Amino acid sequence: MRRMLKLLPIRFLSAALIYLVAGITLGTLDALGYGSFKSVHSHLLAGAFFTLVIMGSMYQLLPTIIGAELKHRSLAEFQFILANLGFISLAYSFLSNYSFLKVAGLIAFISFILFAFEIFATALSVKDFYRRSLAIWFFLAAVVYLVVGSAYALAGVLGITSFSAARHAHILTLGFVAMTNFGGLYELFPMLSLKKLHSRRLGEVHFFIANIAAIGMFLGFPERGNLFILSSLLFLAGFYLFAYNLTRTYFSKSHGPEVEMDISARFMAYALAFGVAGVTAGFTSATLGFPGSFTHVHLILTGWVGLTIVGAMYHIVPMLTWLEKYSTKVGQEGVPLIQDLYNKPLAKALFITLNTTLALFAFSSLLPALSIFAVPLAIAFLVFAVEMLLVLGR
Amino acid sequence: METLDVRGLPHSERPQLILKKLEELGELEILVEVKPVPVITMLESKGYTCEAEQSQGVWRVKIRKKQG
Repeated sequence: MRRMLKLLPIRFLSAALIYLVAGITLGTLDALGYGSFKSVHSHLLAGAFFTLVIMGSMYQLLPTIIGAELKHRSLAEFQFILANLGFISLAYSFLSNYSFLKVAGLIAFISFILFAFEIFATALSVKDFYRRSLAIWFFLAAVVYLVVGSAYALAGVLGITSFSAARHAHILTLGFVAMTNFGGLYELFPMLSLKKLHSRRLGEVHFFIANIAAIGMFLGFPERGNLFILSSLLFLAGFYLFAYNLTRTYFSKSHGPEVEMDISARFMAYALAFGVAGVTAGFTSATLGFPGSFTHVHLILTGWVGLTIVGAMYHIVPMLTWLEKYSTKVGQEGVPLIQDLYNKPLAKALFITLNTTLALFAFSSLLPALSIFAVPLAIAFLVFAVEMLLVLGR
Repeated sequence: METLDVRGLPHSERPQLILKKLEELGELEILVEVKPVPVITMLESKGYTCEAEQSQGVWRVKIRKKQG
């Protein structure tokens, strides 16, 4: 385990899993009526967990995609410490009546600036980086949104500007998290399902649509007038285009012989269905008031983003563990296969449990009896977190 | 130099296959969809040199034992 933590992406992913456990525990207690932890729950999950997973994944994926090394590795190591300090301070602030929020926000903001610098410096170190993959486009846009969204929140906390929680949440989730997810799926989904992306050109069109729509939506808060509705509709259209592109990819002919669909790709395929349901629910909630923001937020963040992350980690964590621990032993002694490092029946059980319980829990604001599914959903995420930590020790 | 085309193989099976072939042959050229940076890093730490170049959407990585 200690050996694995020397790898920078693994350090980010491991820390993220700890925030996942903490965030889910508090969210479940809140859902079951044992306290009010909404702020800290949402910041531990949509903030710390998502952000650290994204940072760790970008530090791993970006150099792989563009064929380069990270530009300033020691800066990224320092940024890891600062980001954690920021998120722990933020969680503490939310649990203690927002005391310490200004300092916590500032620490987190500085770590985001360093992250953005590292990602841009690495990308720009390769001449034609933008040609290598569509994912790079989305990753760089996402990093800009991270800086803008956190600067906006910090300015609000410091009293420099007015603050809209919805605008802040959307810049970071729709800008930073969703753009990363788009990029990650355009890269990883075809790769893991052993297919070729149906159309890069459609993906490029989607990139422009998604960004124009996202900026329109940010500017449309908090009034939610015509600009907001039109931008939401545009974002929805872009998402459908994205879903169409990946669905065509999924059903296209494989490069080689047909093999059983990788568990990571399966998680991502189902995540996509939650994404389509989530953005549709977001639009109908904004225009018709149905099914409401709880359903929209949980379908998008827990379903689309959460399940994509689960899928990505089932690929990245065993792969890096195997390369670090077993690659030197090939030919000298028997070594396990990469897929032997995780428990396959457990992965399938988690796949079924996460998908079914989430599909039910997301509608608990309409039918309160469904909130009981928070328990198996939370347990499944906790088991996943423990399983990933165990993989690092295998 | 023997060429091993790993495109179309599940990603989790590739590193082990590449290493086994290298143990047998000492050098190898692999064809892959993206530049396998983690594998290259791992191979270089094991005393191999890797030359990677991309043409027409395919990465060719020539792997040899480091001289001296």
